[in-house]
Amino acid sequence: MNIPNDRFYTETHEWVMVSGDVATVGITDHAQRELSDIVFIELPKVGERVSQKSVVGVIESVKAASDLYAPVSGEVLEINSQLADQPSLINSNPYGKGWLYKLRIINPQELNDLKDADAYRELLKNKEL
Amino acid sequence: MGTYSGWWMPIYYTSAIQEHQAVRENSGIFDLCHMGQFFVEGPKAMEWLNGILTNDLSLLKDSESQYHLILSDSGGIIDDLILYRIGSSSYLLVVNACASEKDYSLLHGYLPFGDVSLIDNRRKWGCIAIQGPTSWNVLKEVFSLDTIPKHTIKKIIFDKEFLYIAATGYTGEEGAELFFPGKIARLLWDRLLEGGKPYGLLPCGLASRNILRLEASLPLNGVDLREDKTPWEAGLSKAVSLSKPYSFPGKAALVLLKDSFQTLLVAFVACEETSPQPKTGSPIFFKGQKCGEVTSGIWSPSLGRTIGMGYVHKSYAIIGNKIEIEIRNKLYPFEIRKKPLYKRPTIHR
Repeated sequence: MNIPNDRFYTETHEWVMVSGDVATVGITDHAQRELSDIVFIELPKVGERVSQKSVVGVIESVKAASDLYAPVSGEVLEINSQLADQPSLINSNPYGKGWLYKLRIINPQELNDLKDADAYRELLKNKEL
Repeated sequence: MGTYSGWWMPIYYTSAIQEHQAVRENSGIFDLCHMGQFFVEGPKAMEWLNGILTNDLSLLKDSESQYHLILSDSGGIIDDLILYRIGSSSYLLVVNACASEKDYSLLHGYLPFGDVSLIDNRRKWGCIAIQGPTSWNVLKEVFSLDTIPKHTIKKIIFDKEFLYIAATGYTGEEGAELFFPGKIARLLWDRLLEGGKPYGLLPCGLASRNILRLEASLPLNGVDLREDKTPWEAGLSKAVSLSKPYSFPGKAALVLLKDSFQTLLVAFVACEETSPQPKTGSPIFFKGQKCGEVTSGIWSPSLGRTIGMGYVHKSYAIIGNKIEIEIRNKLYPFEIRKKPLYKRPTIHR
């Protein structure tokens, strides 16, 4: 399972890459595999304020629909507009071209709630048992 | 993997979309051992079945197949099935896993009848389907046989066992379904998979099967076909013969309801390229007024859009009508289209 060390993770299988006060958010390789072929995505709007752990969007595969949660509170700066036409980018490149949206972090304290790669790997391992 | 009607089934092997593509462009192999198989035998088999099933069996010749329904007394759909006439006193019925228990007890309830015997081959006989434009290349290679006419069945020998091959399916493509004793399932699967390699054959799971059948506008029992809907509403009058000189469960109700039913099963396509997939129960609106409910919805790779089926009030069930479907509290535009939504343009053999 691909779990890069350069970012943080949530229990709901989002990843967060922090650069200054900007967080780029996506879903993990594990999440895209579980969903299988992704065919539709609904993302938050640019300018929208989202709070940590709230539902900010929906991701649909041919198998299931799944809520997207905000890993931290913030203001949506940008969304990946390529995904509307090519949601399968999330399957093919979940940590790169398949990123979902960028947030301006409001409360950096919340980053402490996130997991590092090792802790996320552990979470998946326990899930399999 | 996932559970389906008590069977542990592959949902997809690699990707449902890839598997779908294999069936539309090359071919796919499906493990359908969950389907229920009953053999009905005896000199009065036709007469007996004509008194239970909806279509007219007397129109069938040897080796032909026919689409049938099993109805409740009130005319509701318990199951849909394909019946094969193997001989004048021998029939194969292939039913859905989800309704097979109901089917069996209903059929069994009509016995004894002459010397008709009902043989329950559920969990004893298996089924594998090969579907797609190259499927007959695969079948010819493995069984050294010629293409058989569409909708017919033929007995063949494989590994010293008798099995049946039928030119039927559930994908909107050319292809065949094989019915065989369970003990050769593994060998058959491996042999077909191997023989299919040069023809782009891929193993396909239930998810791709669901996309394929929805594109071909083939209703699924338990989802699009239900006991609270009659064949008139499901658009399946082709499966019903009211003129045959036999009574069958639901016939009297169907006669009464022929002109008074309220809803129709329609197929629809999203008006916009990106649209979420409606779910069973999603409400359908026409000009702001609720007029029906979705039964199935999926993103269609062949149409490049979200498609589905649902029951709408008869007066709105008009091809070309723009409807709106509520998904997660938002309305999305769809258009009612002629069935089937997907039809293979030309036949290659």
